[in-house]
Amino acid sequence: MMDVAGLIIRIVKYLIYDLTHMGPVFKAVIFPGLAFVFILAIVLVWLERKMAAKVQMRIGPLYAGGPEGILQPIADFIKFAFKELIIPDQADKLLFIALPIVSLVVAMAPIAFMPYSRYMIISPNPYGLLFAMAFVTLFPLIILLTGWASNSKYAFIGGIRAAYQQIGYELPMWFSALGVALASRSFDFVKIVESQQPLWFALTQPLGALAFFIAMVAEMGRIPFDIPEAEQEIAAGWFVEYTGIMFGIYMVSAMLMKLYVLSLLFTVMYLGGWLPGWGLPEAWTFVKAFIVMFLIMFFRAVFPRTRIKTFVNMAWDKLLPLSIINLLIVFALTFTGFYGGVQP
Amino acid sequence: MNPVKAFIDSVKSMIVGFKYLFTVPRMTLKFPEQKMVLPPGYRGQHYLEMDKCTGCSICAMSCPPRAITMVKRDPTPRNKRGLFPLINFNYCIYCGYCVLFCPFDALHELDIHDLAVYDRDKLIHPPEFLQKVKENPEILYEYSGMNVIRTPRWKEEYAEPVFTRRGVKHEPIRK
Repeated sequence: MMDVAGLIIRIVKYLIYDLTHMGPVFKAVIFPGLAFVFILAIVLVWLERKMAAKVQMRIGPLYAGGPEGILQPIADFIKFAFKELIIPDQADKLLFIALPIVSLVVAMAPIAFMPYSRYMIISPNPYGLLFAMAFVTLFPLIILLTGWASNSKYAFIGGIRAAYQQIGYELPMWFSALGVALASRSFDFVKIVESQQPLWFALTQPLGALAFFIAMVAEMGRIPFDIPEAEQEIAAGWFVEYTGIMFGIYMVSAMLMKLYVLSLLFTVMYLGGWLPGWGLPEAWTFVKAFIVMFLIMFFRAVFPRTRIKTFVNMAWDKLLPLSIINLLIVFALTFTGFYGGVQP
Repeated sequence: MNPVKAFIDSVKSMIVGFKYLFTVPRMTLKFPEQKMVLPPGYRGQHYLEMDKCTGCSICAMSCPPRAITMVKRDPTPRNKRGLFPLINFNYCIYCGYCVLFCPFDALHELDIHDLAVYDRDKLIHPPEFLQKVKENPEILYEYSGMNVIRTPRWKEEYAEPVFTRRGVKHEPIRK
């Protein structure tokens, strides 16, 4: 018994040390990790609704506590938690129940590789960019599986649309990311940020940044590219059969986590992360990512939805050439020593 | 489509959105607290002057959805049969025909429009009730049980008239 008590005391002592000295547990649970992300999610939901309301001359959430109804997302989440879970008779039950949780895990996994500053990173990894992009790429597969598991025509059409859309934006996205990796000669996010020391990659590779940004908005499934969940055409698209807390989890993972993760990815890859680095470097990263998120949320209030054909045509006709030209320019510039470092 | 022109147009629409985010007034009212000043002639809850009514039943005949039923009450010297209109607001379409056709100006319409109830029977208003509504509109909400919900949380205020408050700024026609 003494050993167990001693062990518990040691664990508690370690946790206290970890939490006060920003160790791995602190990073995973509090700052770049869970607690921070969920608080940010609440603020983002509120901000998105309020901003769309202001642009469209409405008022938006108002009554649910706090100033200007800022507790509305919490009220919504409690409402979701107490709603009945309906599983369709014809659905693939195991997949249907498991997929929301898998989607949340997949959507949040890239946060582990994303640095807020040189040391504020949950899992330092020399292949961070590849890992993050791999998880980002995995999400449309979950959408397709969800559409299939729901066994509903709207959900299935939504899933097929997601797959069709992915065919369009996937290649430009990876080619643009390759330009960043080539310029910094690393897949490590810390090195990527530090190789943007004089000029951000958004300025030295504007074509790649533009292609990546458009592909990123499509990957998030946000207006103007929310083709898989076009509410006016196919109800809610791929998650139409979900109710209650499972719907809530999908909203968090698909709407918010992807928004946050990809905005942070864009910040780190193109907007110089925590550079210029004086003061509090985490704040620089956060402010830049927040501006990107704000911009993407603002699209929802302003733009209509594109047709799927228009989007795929644009992706193959314009985005793919843009990203390939960008890659060739970067390739040529590396020989001139423009990006510094050892020449290949 | 020219992609450069499309990009410039997108940026322009974003700028318009930013302008609306800060400068243009809100169209939505915070209803129980803010009320709109309604234009004259607004067709809402009816109001009956029982001493003018003669029981001619023209209002009931003219009512397109047949929401008006004539009911028996104590006869008066003017209304010897003692017939008065009872309005079922479940059916009423607020067309105003009863008010228009009334030969003795006994029926009127008020600017009360929030007639929400929990129980549909509460929308059947007998003549005595229709008579009291003008002097004391609060009985409408007490009768329907909505007075709890309707209670304002903040100070009540009247918004500007709808015509001046209409914040839509029409863009000039481009040639």
